[in-house]
Amino acid sequence: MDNEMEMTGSGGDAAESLIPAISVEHLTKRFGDLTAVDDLTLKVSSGRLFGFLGPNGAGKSTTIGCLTGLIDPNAGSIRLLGETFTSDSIELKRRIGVMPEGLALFDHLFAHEFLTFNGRMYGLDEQTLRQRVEELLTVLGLANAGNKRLSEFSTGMRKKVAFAAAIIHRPEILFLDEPFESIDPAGVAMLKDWLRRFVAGGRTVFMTTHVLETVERLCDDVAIIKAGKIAWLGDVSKLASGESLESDGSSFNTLESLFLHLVGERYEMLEWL
Amino acid sequence: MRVFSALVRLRYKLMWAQVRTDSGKIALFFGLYLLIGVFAIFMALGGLGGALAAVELGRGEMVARLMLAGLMMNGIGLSLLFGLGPSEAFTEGSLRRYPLDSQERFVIRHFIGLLDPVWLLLIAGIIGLVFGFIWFGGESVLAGIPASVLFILANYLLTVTLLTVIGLLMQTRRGATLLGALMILLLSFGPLAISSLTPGTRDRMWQVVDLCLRILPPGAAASMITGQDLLKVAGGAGLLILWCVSMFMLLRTIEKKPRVSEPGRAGAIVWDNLYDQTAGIFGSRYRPMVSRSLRYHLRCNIIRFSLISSPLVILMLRYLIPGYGEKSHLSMSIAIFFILSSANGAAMMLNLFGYDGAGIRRFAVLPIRFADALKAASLASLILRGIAFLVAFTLWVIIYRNRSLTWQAVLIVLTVSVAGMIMFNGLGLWVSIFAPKRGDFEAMWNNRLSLGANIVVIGGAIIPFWVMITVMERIQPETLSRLWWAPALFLVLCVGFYGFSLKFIDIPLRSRKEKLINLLSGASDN
Repeated sequence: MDNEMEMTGSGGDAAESLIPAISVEHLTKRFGDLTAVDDLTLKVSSGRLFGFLGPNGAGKSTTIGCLTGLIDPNAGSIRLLGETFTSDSIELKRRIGVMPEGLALFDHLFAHEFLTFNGRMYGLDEQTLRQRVEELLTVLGLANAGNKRLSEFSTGMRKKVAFAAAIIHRPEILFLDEPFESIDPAGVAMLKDWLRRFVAGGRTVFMTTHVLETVERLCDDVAIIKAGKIAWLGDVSKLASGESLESDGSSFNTLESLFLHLVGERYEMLEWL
Repeated sequence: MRVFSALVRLRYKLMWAQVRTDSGKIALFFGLYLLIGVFAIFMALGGLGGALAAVELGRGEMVARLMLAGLMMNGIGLSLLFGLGPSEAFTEGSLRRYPLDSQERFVIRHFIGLLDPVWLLLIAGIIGLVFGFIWFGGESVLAGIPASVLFILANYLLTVTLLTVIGLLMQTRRGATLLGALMILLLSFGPLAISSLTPGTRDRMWQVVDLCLRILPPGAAASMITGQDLLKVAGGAGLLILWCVSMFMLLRTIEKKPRVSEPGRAGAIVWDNLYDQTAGIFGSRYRPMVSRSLRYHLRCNIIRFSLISSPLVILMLRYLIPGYGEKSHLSMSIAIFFILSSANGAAMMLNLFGYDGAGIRRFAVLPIRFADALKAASLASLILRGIAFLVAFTLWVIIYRNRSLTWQAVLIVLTVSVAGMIMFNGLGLWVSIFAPKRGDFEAMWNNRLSLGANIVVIGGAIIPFWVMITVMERIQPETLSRLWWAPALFLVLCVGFYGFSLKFIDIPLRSRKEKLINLLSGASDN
């Protein structure tokens, strides 16, 4: 399959904007002999909820790392919101929110200290900052844990804090690396609603996850990456209206069946099990 | 038994895996060199030499008791410093995944702990001592060998019990503070208290210490090794067995106790506290980062301990340096303050990202230059080290105000200390990116500095001592005072070096960013 793909939005005004929110061209990242991301080209329009899928080790986190400044690519270019992005693009970084792999929390801060730190780093004024920190802690059910160190939090609570830190400054693009894993069902439902509202306002979400059902119901567009290359890219919202997804001349009624077809993962039963 | 041997093999496989890294190879070289060299020294000098001296003096049992007590203290001290036993792969929690009952898990954990290289050194000393007594003193092999085995076992169990109790205390904030205060009191006032005893009281104190040693494992082992009759040997053996059994039971009881983590304290959010206000002096760009570093560093046990204990070294000034006297007071003060400037808060200064864990990734995605985070941490360390220095300096002025403390002397000490502090802060920037190490935030005793950082700290202690001895030999104190302006030049150089480091640290950091993130966030182990 061609590794150069474009996804045009079909949402509101912002989604129809000519300037894509994310534009990646010939992105390559090597770690020694391993090419984690191989000549990847991708465009995501504004106002879209974009799911980035792939098996373990396919290059999802490396790609998101390159798109957020965590990793410097060996080749290729990245444009966010129409501007060239590198790890030194400070002004652009102010306009994006990131929930990185491993959450990147400072474990020995309290939740409110961590959120305050993030808000200040993004230049929020003190009044707005305090208001948002208190509101976020309350709605995420962390108000009573305000003075508890993050190291003492459960995995789900840590994820909520990392999510709160990613959105505290109202970014224009939100990068989320596996946002739903380990969060309780009520928390997942809330995050989904927030993300829908987020993109309805013309902003963009780029997320990786392994929960295909969630992607199928939540995302507008999906890219499936395999061995550092895009294996499929398309609109999955049509599944809701009964249409199927096409790939290599075949039709697929679920994202899972398409994923398994593309990734080529076959499993065998273990006789002794 | 197969699980047992598989786990022992795994322990050494993990060690070998660590050795395969670049820093691991260097550590292996030094480790083997030290192990072989020190093993021989422990055997020959510590053990054999002690035994020979004991036989010649005709006070075999007493010398053996003291020698073994020294080895026991070394075991405890080294275990406190370097940690006891292998990594987290062999904790009780990790071993629970294997088909082992609680008794088997206990035996495996402690058998692996006993195979720790540090303990081989102590075993060498004990073997050397026993061998010396058998060779030179004609003592019984039949008593000597079981004595050494029982002593090693009792010593290990005593140490591991002590460390477990400390570990339990460290789990609570109050316990950690209590323990820190106790250590500081022992370190700072212990030597002062001993030195202020009258000769008679001191003799009586040593008698009490000797009496205590007799009922402790060193005394029991000594009476077994040098015992002339069966009753004495049996008594010593009985006492050692009693120690082993009681420590074993105590350890089992402590380990069986469920560990409860301290609940978080509920309370109102304080928005603009002292950390934020202090960090405010660096402007809005650095304020959040410096503020974060300040509170983060002050919550880290090893850093807190280092900062609190360093000013108290001043109280021990005269006991630290042999040959201390009125004449050499100034040169020794300069040396001690310079050493303080390298050791004070070294865990933070030389490993600026070391305690951030996975948080280091966040610096890369925030709207800042990655180097800004390093610079902010360095500035925070300078503030904290500066406060600790000011306390030390005030103590020095108060304590030694009667020792012909001229304004030139005060100025020299002040200038050299500030210069040293700034110079080491500059070095800290480079060491933090070229020799980082993932630190254990909760640990208080383990020396978690990298080889490079250790070289800086040890160099920071050895060089001033060497300079001080040279100065004491060649320059009169009056002449030294007249050179009060010279340290100012050194200060200018150090400020220049720190400024240069702050300005150009971006360049190497840029190429090492990903490696640093992977190493410190745990994506790869050092």
